[in-house]
Amino acid sequence: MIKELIFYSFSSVLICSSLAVVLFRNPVYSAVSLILSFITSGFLWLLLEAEFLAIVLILVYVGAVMVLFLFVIMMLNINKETEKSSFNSVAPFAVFIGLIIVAELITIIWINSSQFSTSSTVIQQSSQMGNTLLLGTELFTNYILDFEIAGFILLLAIIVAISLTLRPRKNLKTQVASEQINVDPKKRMKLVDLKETK
Amino acid sequence: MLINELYFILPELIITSCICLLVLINSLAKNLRQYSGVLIGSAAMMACIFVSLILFSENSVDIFNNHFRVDNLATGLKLVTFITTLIVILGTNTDKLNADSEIILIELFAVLGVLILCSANNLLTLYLGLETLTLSMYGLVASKRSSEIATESAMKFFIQGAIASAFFLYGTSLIYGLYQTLSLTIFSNPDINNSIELQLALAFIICGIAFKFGAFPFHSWVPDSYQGSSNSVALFISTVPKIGAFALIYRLLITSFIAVTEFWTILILVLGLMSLIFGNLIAISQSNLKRLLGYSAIGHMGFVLIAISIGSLEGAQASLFYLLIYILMTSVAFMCLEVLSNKNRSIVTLSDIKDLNSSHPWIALIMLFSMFSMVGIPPFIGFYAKWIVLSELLNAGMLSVSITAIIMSVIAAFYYLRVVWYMYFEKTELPVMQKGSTLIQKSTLSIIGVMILLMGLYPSPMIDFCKSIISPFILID
Repeated sequence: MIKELIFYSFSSVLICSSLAVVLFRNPVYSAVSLILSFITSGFLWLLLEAEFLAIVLILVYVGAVMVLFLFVIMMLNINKETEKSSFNSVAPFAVFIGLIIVAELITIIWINSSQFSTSSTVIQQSSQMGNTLLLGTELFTNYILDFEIAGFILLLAIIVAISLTLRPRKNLKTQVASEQINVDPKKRMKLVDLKETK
Repeated sequence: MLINELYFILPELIITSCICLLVLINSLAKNLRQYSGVLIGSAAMMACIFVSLILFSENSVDIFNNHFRVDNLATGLKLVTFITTLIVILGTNTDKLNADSEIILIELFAVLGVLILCSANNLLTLYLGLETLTLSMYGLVASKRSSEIATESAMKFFIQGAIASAFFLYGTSLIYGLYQTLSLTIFSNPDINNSIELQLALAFIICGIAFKFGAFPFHSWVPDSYQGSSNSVALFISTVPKIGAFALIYRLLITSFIAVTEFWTILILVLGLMSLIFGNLIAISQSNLKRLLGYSAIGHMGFVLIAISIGSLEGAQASLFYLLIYILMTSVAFMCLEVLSNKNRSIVTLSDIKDLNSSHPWIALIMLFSMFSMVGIPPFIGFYAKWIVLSELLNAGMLSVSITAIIMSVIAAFYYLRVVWYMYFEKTELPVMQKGSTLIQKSTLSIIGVMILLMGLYPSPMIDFCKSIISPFILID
């Protein structure tokens, strides 16, 4: 009972915030309501005992992707009026796509074809040991090679991004620690015995 | 167990450790960086050539939970990759611009991607290899960052590449939905039935492959990125990634998905014919030498694809032979441009090479070898490449395709010979006068230039090599 109560409250928040994403005129408000909808769908994952997906959804989408969105929106400084007019012209197409997705969901849920059922062994294993542990062991045993390659792809991305954007300044002054340590104080400072002036 | 597996991925390990070493050297010892790339890169390639020669005698093994296959084809293609990269690295200018943009380091990453593609036995590993290769190619094309045209072409390339990757991934996801597995060993089972869903998935995957080859509907990045990138980069991206594309097409289509051979041969045939026709026809009107070579590359890829579309092992052998010869000829052509260019003047248009014969007679002669070979004039190796592909086409009874290929080769002769005309018979006020290239570059160029002629006189070792790495044993098991 309590579980259903939680589910319905979160899903109503999710529906409201998703509608708000589309209906708000100000793009910043839309982005913030998208964050809210990500967080609530994260909670829905938690109700399904998919804790890894929930955490990844919040960390990746809220923590990284949406922050990037907000940065872009604020930097571009989008005009609200043009945004409103473009919404109307796209609306019929968007409704059409939405109807297709609804039809697909109906096919999957009500007709419930056996093609879409996941293999039972995965579900059993994940209920025994928790899906984070299961994913981790799979990643570090069966998929170790792919994991390592993915690591190298990230290294490549870092190197390319830095080499494309780093522009060292010509008159940059930097510290050289070894020279600083090896400095002889006698060469740097000359003590002069000043006579008392009358 | 694990130690045994590491022995088979020794070439990859050498490349990855050299990448790490190069990153450290370039960031810590700044005064070495101008030569560190060339030194470490060529040392790594020589070590890898040695190791893969040893691995060549091993039996085929599947390691890392069947994600990685080391067989004759993989080792053979890797060997070709290492040799090509060694030539490319030795031919690259060691000026400050190249060192600052980390060209050799990113090239090593691209080589790693090609190696993974050569050995991948799982669609996930295959995709990761593909991404490593493509991502480093974006970086290479964009590396001339002060130039507007380079940035523009890199941006175009990036967007098209992202779309092609999305196509490829979509096809992969359809296949996973159909069979709940990504392992290529399972798909090579002829019991897999020929369904419309599988054909759809394969069509998406072939879009991804066509992009990597630069075949017709996905070809527009090729001339743009050749033109936009510096000569050193164009030398690399016109040669090494094509080996990865061949590995991709061989692993995915020829040894897996045997059940739908009739379907994919038609797709590949159409792609090949269209790129043959479009590449060669558009190349006629080009005045930029690099764009011209880009369109001619599209035409050559058409030849490679129609040879694959025969669908037999002989077709694949002919295709591989053509690809290797194409790599040799293109690397000679681009290396001529690279040797002639220096920091102050880059050779890009046809009018830049006017009267090259009187200022650099030897380089002009080598460029002439390359151009004659691309046309397919008999004493040069390009003739044998075209001849083998055409004879396989005729054996398979594809008469109209081979006639189209011959007509297109004749049309192609016009623009290749125009390059020769400009070098020998045009007069210019602004001759190429430069002294920037090193002795290593010139001797590498001379060796591979003379190779075009020598291999044309004695082509059988190369043909035997192609036959030995694509052996009929693969189809039996």
